[in-house]
Amino acid sequence: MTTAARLAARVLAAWVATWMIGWALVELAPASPALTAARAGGRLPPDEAAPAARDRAVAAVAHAHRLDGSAPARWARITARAAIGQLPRSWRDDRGAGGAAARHAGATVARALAALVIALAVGVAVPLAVARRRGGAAAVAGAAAVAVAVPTVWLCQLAVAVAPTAALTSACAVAALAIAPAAVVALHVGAALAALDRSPLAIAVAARGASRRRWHAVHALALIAPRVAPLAASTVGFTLAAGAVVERALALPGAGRTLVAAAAAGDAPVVLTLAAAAAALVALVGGLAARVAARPGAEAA
Amino acid sequence: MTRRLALAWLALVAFAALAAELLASDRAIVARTDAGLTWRPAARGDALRARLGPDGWAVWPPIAADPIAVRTDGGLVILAAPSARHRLGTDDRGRDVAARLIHGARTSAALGAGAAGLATLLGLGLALAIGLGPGRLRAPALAVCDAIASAPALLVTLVAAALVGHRGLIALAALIAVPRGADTARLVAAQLTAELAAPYVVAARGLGASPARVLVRHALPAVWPALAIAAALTAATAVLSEAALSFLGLGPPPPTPSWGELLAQATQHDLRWWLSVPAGLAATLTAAALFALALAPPRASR
Repeated sequence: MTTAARLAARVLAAWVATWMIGWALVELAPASPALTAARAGGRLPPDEAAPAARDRAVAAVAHAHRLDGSAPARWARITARAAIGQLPRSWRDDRGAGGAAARHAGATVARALAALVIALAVGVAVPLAVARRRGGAAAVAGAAAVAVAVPTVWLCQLAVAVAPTAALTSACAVAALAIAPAAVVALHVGAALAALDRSPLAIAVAARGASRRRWHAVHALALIAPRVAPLAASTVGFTLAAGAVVERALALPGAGRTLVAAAAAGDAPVVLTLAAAAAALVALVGGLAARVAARPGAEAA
Repeated sequence: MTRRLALAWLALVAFAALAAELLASDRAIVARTDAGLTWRPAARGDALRARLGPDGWAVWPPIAADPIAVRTDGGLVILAAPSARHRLGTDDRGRDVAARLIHGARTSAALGAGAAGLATLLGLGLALAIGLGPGRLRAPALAVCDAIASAPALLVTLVAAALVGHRGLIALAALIAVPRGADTARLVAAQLTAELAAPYVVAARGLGASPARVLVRHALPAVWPALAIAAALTAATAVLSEAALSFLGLGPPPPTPSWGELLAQATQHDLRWWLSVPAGLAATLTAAALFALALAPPRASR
């Protein structure tokens, strides 16, 4: 199996598994999918209407969205169709869930990838910069523990308070998304550097006359890179999830806001499409990162 | 030092959570009326003051305000800045922010403890099944745990909360606990497998110790530190997830006081600092204390 085929299988598995688990949760909810769909689309008659009218409305929505039949049959039908790319229609506006999910998704993915690059750059650079200073590693660990603990929404509020101009909002969003992942990367890199500094390799390199700066920047970094690579997947996952908070807090367009609006309305097809797309993207980045971590020579690291 | 500070802050949060009714409420702690001495009288606020009579007295909580009730007697002041009457101001329904902050600690503590407890039980159960089960099932089971644990926790909770429709504290704790339980399971299973193959365990088996005794006396004590770390991380995740979900309108249902709900109100009302800063600080310090405990180097034992 080629690398590309393995990656494709991984992405497809994440997509299908999200639909399978997600639709099972829809079926486990107290309200039937048809009733939730009727409610989301505003098609339920007023509360004072006769129960028969309510039942007729729910049946009509069930027929329109192909939500009739038993729960297992529905689950199998919807997950099978999703696996081949035939997504259900949005329960709110009857448009394709794929189209609704794709709206503004580019902005969210771009912010997530920008945050990933910044997180990796800062998370690697800061421990390297302070590695030669006494107490530097402890300071980085302490700062990272606090940075990971700040709620994203509060981070956005602080950013708006400090830089209230609209021009800086996008930069604030990327910074708010990058801080926690950067802290996690810094913790890993700091710990790996501390371990490598005590290794026989460090003594050997020093004995050959290499400076400590060169040891860190050239040799240690090459050994640490494969260990940091797997963090890329969790960073993308975090930034996609936190994107919902950041986009709402900073009033930015994006898939996160679409997700929250769909979640509030109970629009399961759009929620699941976005969740499955996020899972597929995380699986793709995770697969690429695993390739980097498994490249020849990484085992020795 | 860091560990002590973290423990002190968590003890403070736990005290606020347990004693919230005695710290912030419009019910007196004890009152002496014409009917005699009453512990936690049913009459509240001004109604009790009117009943006290000339010789009566009452001991009130330090913050004598209800965190939930909205005043309807003409004394409603919405979004008021901090003052002598409301030390941290009021929210958009005129409720005392200090009272809601203290009762919010109860929500966060309950969610954190509930999620950590559930994830620990789930993780330990799965780890025991993986560690002691048939060897051929170990790799697939660990792969499933890996897949669940690698999913973004906030996204999983958000999506699951939206799909299931439940927004009670127990449902939220369960939604947070499932992915964290998978993470706990893979952590503990790895350690349990290593311990069961350790020379001292092999020696114990050779001396005739039963599998149950090996597990209880030798293997399980070795995995407690990993379980404690995983539980602290789960509790921190729960505190941060609550803040995010409440902000997105998918947290505990109103009028439950929570730190995330105060942060959401701050965003809706021009970032009033008395809504944002205390709640944000409380959530940050609590999560940081839990992370610090999880990341602190283990103490030497025996």
